[in-house]
Amino acid sequence: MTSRLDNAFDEHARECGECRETAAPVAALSALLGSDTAQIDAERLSRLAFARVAPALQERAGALFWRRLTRVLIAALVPLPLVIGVDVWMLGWLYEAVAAWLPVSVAAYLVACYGASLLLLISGTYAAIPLLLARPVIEPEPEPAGA
Amino acid sequence: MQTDEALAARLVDGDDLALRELLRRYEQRLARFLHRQTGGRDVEDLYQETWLRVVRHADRYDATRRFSTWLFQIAVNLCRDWQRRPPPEPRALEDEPAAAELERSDAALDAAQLLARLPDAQREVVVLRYYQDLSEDEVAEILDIPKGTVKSRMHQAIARLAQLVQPEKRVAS
Repeated sequence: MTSRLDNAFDEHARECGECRETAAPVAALSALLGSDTAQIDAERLSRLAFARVAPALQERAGALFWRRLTRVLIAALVPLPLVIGVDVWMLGWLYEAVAAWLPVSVAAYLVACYGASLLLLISGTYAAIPLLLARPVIEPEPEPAGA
Repeated sequence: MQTDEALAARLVDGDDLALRELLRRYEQRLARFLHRQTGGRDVEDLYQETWLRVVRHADRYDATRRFSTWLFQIAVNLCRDWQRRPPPEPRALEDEPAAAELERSDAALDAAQLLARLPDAQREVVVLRYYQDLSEDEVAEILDIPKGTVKSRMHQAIARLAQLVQPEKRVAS
């Protein structure tokens, strides 16, 4: 601290003709200002600050989560009509094919079961989106320069 | 190790690890700056308020600028607001202490007292330039003043401090 003060004062004294002429007591000032030994518990201040800032930080993280979720859901919902359309067409084709070989009630039962499993699969996929987004992302540590 | 600027950019996403790291890196410098600017009063509040503003306004931070400059700009503005507030009780040290009072307390002059007797604008420059070890350019950017003004305020501060530590010259003048 003192050496920095000395350098800084010296720097000013070198540049400032007036200070040189008036022989400003640069050394005495350096010594006085450098003797500042105030004890500050900065770690405690940081703990208190973090506790106070934490809600604002969570608010930011929450806002970010909802923004991402909205974007991803919109992106995921765009192809949904096409997926449902293809599934419905496929179920109709499947029903006709199965009904040609089996009784209608059995064909309807089989196709309904298959349709239900498809519905479950699609619902599960969409339900997983917010869960995957909420997962904390762990960034890899950068490799040491010498490695 | 990530730069301060990269960590500050992560605050926009509410990254608490980034905040913890920035707190760790700047706690000493910021706490001491506030302590010197306020004479040790309300440091806890100002310290918390500084970081609260950093988080709240994280999306306004321009990552092409140094984080330290932005942080100290916030701290300087908070200190100026704080100095404009009416003091809760009569201040022990007035900005313009009477000559007799100066004479009486010369023997006990220390760094805190010297700094307290500087006008706010000069104290800002001294604390940033010397205690925070910032360049004149950085100080000018933080205080939003020309570099020449930094130099002149520093000169005025040294002249004033010299008067305080050399009572015979003060009396003669």
